[in-house]
Amino acid sequence: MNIDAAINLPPIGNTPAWLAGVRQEAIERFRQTGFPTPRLEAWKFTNLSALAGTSFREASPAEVPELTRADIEPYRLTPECHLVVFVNGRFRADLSDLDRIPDGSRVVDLSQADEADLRLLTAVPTVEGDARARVLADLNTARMTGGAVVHLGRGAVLDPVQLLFVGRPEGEPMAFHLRNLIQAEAGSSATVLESYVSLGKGPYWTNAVTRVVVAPNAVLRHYKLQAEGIEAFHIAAISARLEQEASYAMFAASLGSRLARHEVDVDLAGERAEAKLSGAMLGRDAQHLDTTVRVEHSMPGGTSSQEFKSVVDDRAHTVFQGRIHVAPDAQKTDAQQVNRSLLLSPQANADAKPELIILADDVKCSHGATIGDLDEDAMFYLRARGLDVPEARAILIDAFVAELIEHIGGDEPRAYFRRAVDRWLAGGGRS
Amino acid sequence: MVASQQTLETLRSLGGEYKYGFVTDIESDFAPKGLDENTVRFISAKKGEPEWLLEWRLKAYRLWRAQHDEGHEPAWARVTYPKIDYQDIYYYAAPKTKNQPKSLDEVDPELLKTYEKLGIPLAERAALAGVAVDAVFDSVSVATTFRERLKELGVIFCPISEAVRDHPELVKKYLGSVVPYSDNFFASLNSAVFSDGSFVYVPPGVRCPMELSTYFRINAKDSGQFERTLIIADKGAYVSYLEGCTAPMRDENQLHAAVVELVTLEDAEIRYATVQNWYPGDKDGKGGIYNFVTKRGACRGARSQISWTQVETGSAITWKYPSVILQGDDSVGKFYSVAVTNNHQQADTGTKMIHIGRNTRSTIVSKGISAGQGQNTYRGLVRVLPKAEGARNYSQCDSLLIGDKCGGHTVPYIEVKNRSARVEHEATTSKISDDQLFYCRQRGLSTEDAVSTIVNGFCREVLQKLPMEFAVEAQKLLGVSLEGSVG
Repeated sequence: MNIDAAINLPPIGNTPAWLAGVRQEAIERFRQTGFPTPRLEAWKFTNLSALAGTSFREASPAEVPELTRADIEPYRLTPECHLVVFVNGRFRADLSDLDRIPDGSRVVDLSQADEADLRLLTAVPTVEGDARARVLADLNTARMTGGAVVHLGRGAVLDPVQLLFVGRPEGEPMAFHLRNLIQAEAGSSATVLESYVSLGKGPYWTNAVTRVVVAPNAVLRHYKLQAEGIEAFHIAAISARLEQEASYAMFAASLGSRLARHEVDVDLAGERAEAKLSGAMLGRDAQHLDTTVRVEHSMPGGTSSQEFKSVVDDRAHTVFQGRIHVAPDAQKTDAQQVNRSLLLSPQANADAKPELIILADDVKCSHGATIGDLDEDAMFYLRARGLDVPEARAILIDAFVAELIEHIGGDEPRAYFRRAVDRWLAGGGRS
Repeated sequence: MVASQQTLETLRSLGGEYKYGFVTDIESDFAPKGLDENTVRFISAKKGEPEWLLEWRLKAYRLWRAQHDEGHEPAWARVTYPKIDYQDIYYYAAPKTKNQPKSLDEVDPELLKTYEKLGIPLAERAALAGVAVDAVFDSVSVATTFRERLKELGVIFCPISEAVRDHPELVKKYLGSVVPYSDNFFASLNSAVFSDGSFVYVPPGVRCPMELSTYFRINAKDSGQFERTLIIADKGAYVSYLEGCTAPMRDENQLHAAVVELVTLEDAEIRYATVQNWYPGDKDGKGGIYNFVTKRGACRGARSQISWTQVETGSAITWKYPSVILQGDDSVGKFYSVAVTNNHQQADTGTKMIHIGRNTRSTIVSKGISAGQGQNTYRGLVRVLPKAEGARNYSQCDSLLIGDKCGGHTVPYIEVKNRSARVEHEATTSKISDDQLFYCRQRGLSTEDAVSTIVNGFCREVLQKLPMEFAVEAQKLLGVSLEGSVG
């Protein structure tokens, strides 16, 4: 990674002076710290040396890979859904489908972001974290070239909106710094699906930062499929701020990439806000998949749940780090977390670090974590009914993941993830 | 109900003040304040140690010095305290005795009085209680009982300085084999300046007939205490060891950096129990002990077992992770802990279970109780290495919060590199519910009594694992520690 190249910041629309300043500071922080190493607590289990050791180029705006709607059709949620497509980190109006966005709402590229959007996009995350562990988001701030700005007007109801990010490796490895904003105004309701896929083989790096703001009484269902190519690196940081009685559901399936980190920060910044976070990591070969979740209960009466699972085959390695932080004033908090990992091969490897930091007393908080092989009793039960070992295993693994998919709201998104998981179970699944 | 009645009585007799806050006035033999190579040489010379041990200490000292100078004092624990000035501490203080005492009558009466106030079963009381006490006063062991009876069985139970002299081959073989001098900042410091501690060796096939016990006290003003304990259970041996601590009231913070090493060979078992009630500082967080301890056991042999049981109610800051390295096939590690933080106390404690051998099993039960502005962190590691076929771990960490200014935290690390392992971790955080309190009060219990009853119930799984003598003291301590936290 040539850091010095990042000094000539690419423009975003008409970059205001303050933004240029923010981006300059961000790159300075990145220059000082460099790529995070396992010496940083937040990166203890995930070593980025392979990423840091690869030299990436930035795709020039002139490079427009030839793609047709037919090429991306298989990755589309439904033929009718609102669709915004990015190829190699840049917006593709020709492949997107944004004609039917209702009045009062907006779905546009980062280059069309207005001042208020940009302020939200570049605000410092409110969830506590080591600044040195967040320098990849700083690099993103400095280098961002595209991303979706989804703005739901007051009381708006939006059919599924899909953000489709296509990696199309060509020549030297490329890095895509995507910056998304999902802003749900008061009382709105929407489903937003992010899909990361790759068309073609070769290494590249997706470095995505997504900011989410859910206003009072708004409901946001946020889903993410990470099915990048097997040589890709995927680093994504979502940070969500929930206001009073806001409801936020997030499900992520992580099954692609050579090395992936899915980071979610949720701040329950309004009273009685609700967050439901879940996800599945499905790893095989030598994949390294990491999910890092930080939930901050800043205000009283909040409810949060986390259910994350991993299925680890071959020499793959999964990491789950989940933190629940309850601030001194956040009384009546109810926060739960469950993490389960299934190891399918002798070389499979899973690490978990569930963490509770509780500073209020009138709370109900718990976490549970298990790591192990399939349940012997369940295997015996199925085999006693005449199934052979591979069949029995397949059924149990399927059931293990299917439980999570049930959390997904809406038939079409559920079917979409079901297909992705089925492809994985059948031995494929990555693009 | 008996226990809580006792707690109440204890409370009344204490008047809410720290019971053991008194200072015994005896002449101490100090090493000059501060720490350099000369201090290390002084301690070693004072003990008449062989050359190899001095060399070992010096290596530890140099490593510690380098870490210290580079500012590598550990900072990852969730505790805050002002920077320790290591040059402002006495590293050696021994009670002056004209002659070595041969029986209790010869022991300084001032010392005996101190122990009496602490309620240590020494002399006849020791015989009645069936406890052999190797009482440590500051840094030198002053009296040991039941030595003769243990000797008949071949059990060695003596101050470690004596063991260095009389059993150098055992000490040389095992000292630093579980916690090497390079292990961590405080272990290095301890290795350089440890003054005394206990040494136990139980020969093959011997079941130690009594609970071995040590009481530690920090007495001389500003002297850190650097204990070193080494316990070895040879093949098929069994020993249960109790450690209890109280310290007098002080305004300055005192540093305690002990190291405890346990080794079990094939089929051997060590049970190590601690009740720690050192001075926790006053209500405003002034004073109190810094308890930075490295405790680790190695199950070297197949089918061996090590269990740590601790009740931690004292100290201003506790930094302590009694661990078990499960090397032998089918070996078992257990950790049962109750940690209480009240007022401004901070505790960052937990365990590490490292599964190396096949079919190794570990159990972790941790109960953290926070009151006042106390901060209580469970930090633990369960690691299953690739060869640990069939490893099994069950961990349960519960936190109880009393009051809205305190904090209870859980930070487990789980690393599994073997498919056949089964690792389960559960943690909960809650407060004493109004319903529970109401229920108890409705039946005529005072609020304080109700809290004591509920807390004892919350900790029951751990208290049950303590030897009888300690279980009673521990129950009382819980009540005393939480006094004034409700209402």
